[in-house]
Amino acid sequence: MDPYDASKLTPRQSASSRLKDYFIGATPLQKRLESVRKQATFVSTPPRKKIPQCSQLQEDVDPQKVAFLLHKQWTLYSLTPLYKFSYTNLKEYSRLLSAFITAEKQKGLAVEVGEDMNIKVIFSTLLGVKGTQKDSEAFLVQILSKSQRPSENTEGKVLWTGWFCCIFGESLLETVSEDFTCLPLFLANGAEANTAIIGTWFQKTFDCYFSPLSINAFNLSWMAAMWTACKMDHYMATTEFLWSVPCSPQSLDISYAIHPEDAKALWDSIHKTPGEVTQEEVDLFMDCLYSHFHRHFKIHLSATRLVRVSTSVASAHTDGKIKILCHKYLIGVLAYLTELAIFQIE
Amino acid sequence: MAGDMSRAEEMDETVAEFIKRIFLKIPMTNIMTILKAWDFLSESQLQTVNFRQRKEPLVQELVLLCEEKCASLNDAALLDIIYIQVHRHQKLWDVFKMNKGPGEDVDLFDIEQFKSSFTKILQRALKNVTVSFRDAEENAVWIRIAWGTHHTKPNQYKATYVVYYPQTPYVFMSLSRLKRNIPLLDQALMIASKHHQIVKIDLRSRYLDSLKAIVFKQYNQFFETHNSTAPLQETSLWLDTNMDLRVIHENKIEKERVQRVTRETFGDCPQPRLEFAQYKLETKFKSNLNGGILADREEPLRCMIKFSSPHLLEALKSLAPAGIADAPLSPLLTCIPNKGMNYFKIKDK
Repeated sequence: MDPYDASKLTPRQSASSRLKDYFIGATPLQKRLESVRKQATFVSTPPRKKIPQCSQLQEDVDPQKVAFLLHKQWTLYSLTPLYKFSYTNLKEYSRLLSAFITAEKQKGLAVEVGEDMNIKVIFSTLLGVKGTQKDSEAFLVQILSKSQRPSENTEGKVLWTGWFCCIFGESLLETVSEDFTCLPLFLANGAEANTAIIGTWFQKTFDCYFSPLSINAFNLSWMAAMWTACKMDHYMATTEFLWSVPCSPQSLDISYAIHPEDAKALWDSIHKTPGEVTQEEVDLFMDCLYSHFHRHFKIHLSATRLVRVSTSVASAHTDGKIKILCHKYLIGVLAYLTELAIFQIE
Repeated sequence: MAGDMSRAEEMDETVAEFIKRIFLKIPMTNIMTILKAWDFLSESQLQTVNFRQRKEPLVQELVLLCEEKCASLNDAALLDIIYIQVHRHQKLWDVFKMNKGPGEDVDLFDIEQFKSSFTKILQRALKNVTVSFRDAEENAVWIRIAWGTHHTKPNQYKATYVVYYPQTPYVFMSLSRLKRNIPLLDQALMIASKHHQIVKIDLRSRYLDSLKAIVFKQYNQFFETHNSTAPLQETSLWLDTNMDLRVIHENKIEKERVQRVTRETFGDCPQPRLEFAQYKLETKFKSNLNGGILADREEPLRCMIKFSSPHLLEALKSLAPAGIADAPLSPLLTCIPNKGMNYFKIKDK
């Protein structure tokens, strides 16, 4: 179906090329693509970027409905816009994807030991998981094991969950026509094999492209600072950082946990402008942690690789894994991840 | 003989199951070594066995041979000790130090008396307990204890293993999860060995031999003595490869200094093997950066730092030469082998 050989192009190029294919002569799009390509040659973010602090974001998500999203580890992907996706066809999609998965498994392409071949796929919308009204509605896909006995109406066990969302994704919205639905952030929980099958179906059906979203040390530091800045009634978890040291032949991991109240005290001592977090503040926060460590151990953590950050709000791993612990800041965490996803797409 | 059962005409089924499970755990390459060390099955019996067959049928055959000879629980326990001796890194070992009371003479140590006394204390307290001993290299005594209660038989699958060096105050223990028996075990050890106090020291690792090397300060001689010309060769090799002609003289001096200081701190021999070091810090934040950060705060920062590596000391040794750390490295790290600790609590003075 796709005339381009995607392997030869980078994800960014192939996505925008496919978009271009559909809209030859759409001047605003071409102009936008050009400016985006120019921007991408700069280093990630300008040094004085300001991000709204978590506590300011709206929290009208029903905590009960999204409780199942918390305390689970999600693997992150960026997703290019979906072509001709419709929220009225969710039942149809459930049926088609079910059939696809069953067919793929019968082919023996994805072999999971002891897995029940009787599965059911459910598409549903996740109301309220968005930043502004312009954001597309988030939706959820679940694979459940079907009950063996047809008389029983009990829901099967959830085998795999994936959800698609867009939080404050205006910049991406501007680049596409109405035939496209923008849900650049995809989160999956469950067997890798299932993620692959589902990804294949979506790519075939909506001409989109998934790409694993890794989080570099720069963004992990921002997350650590922002989440430390969040006001919490009580702390559920210690604030922890994990560094991987590039020494050979033996690897070395350094885990640095700091009492969340102390981390907050350090942040408050650094933080100047209410409602905003600046690059300077993030750098200073990290430098303070580095210097406290260096004072004791004479090791320069800045020369090592930050691999994981964990706070009472959420935890994130450089391999693109996230766990959200606090429903109050769910939207805030997703907003940052959406931004990273959009950046990867562009 | 401690914890003994009279030899039944037939081997107990639970013993057979226990022996079978031990055999199944042993990798094929080690089976012969362990059987020989166990020395329970006779030469003629072993000759009848086909050791090239697959593991399950081989184990079945071996268990049948054990039944022929009516293996007892004690025989099985001995097999278990040997398994652990060969696979000691599968357990996590804690280190304890015993102290004699003031004025207590160093008695002549009687190993048989120790074993008998130790067993009696446990049996008197619990009634159901399996205690087994095996002597090992360097005068070590390996002790295996399977714990029961007054009403239940000992759980053979959750045994505690103790390695005691009678001429020293040190005991190494792999504690099972049955924590309630620890005070009793401590008591039995102290009384049987005529000590007055037992203290857990902050040192823990899977590598029993490294722990030994650390507490017995053997790590400079324990490993093979090195060729004295090797360090010089090392240094010049390091400087010659990737030699950038633009590297100025001062840089070269600094690199040499780092190498020298690292060698002085760590020595030239291979380091004892530890997997982690943990530091609980409660120290105030002191910044020489943009001053004033947390300046008014009286409370210290509460931190927990953990270093993990397949071979921690070798990894730490490589940090300064790699430019990741200053040389000399902090004494908090370099003191690990000398102090024989890998758990620390650090507070401001």
